[in-house]
Amino acid sequence: MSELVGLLFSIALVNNLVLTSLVGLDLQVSASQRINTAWLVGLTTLYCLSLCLPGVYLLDRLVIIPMQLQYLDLLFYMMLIMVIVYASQKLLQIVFPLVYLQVKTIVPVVLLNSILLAAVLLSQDQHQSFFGSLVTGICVGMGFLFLLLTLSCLRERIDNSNVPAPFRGLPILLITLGIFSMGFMGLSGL
Amino acid sequence: MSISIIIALVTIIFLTVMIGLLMPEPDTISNQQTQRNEIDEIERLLPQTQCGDCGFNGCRPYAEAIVNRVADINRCLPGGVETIRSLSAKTGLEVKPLYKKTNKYDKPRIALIHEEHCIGCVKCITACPVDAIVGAPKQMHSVINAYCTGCELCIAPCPVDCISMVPAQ
Repeated sequence: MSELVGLLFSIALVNNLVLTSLVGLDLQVSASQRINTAWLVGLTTLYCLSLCLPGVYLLDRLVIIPMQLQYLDLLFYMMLIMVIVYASQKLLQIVFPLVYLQVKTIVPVVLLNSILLAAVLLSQDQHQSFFGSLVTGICVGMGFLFLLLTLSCLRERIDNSNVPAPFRGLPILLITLGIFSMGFMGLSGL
Repeated sequence: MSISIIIALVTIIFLTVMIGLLMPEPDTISNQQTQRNEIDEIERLLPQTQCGDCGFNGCRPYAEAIVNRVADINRCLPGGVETIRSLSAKTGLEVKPLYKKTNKYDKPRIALIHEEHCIGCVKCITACPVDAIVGAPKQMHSVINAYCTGCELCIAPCPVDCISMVPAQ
């Protein structure tokens, strides 16, 4: 149990993929304009990540490693991510049509987001078990959601404050993200 | 070695076919246009009271839900049976009895203003989507029973809580 909590802290906060590897920044910037969108995008990413990582683990153990196809792994991963996300979207359409209507336009954006592939590669590098990859997926998603929500709250404050003219818009946002990243680095001593 | 290549090919073909089967229809401009036209046509049939009785935020969201087959066509209380018939003719869905918000009330209900408490603030008149309340500032207001759809939108704005719902005759 303590191992799981440690994993959650280390992946979601200390080694937050967005801040350390700079993946998924486009979504962080574009989706944090309003807090409702931030919730929706963050939860969709969490959902996709928690489905994709175990799926990729299974593909890895059943096909890639026994047949020594490591040179094709990136292609396989990307295709499998697409299949899993589209299948879960279809399932959502049947089970919760109202939720599907809200998520419909977001899923392609999340799907083309580099954080999915980055999380998959992170999990494969660490040679995790099936359960471990599931937990990693959820933790990466929670870290992403946490950062997105914090950033959207901060943006609300930035919008209401008097920013110097050269920094207005994207520059102040990127500076904020940089300061964020430094702040999260300080957590690595935990 | 050859077996591994064959398995790689089979996996790639399988994944490609799955992507093709599962991928949702792309939102091309012509697709969006046809869907927008469909929504417009459905919206024109709705009574435009914007009361929100169907569970959506207004008539346009409800029309979108009908086009996407998320909601049934029998949820529009102000429209009544007539709207259900015209929607059914347009969409090809079968006619169903009117959906009721709760099972507590069998009969449709309308608003009644208790006139001795009314202070004439006009707030319910601005809230009413079908202009079924008559009155003027500092004058007593009254509901025209024939026009009231029972959407309950006038209850919340009333500062003295003098509006209640009663069964329609």
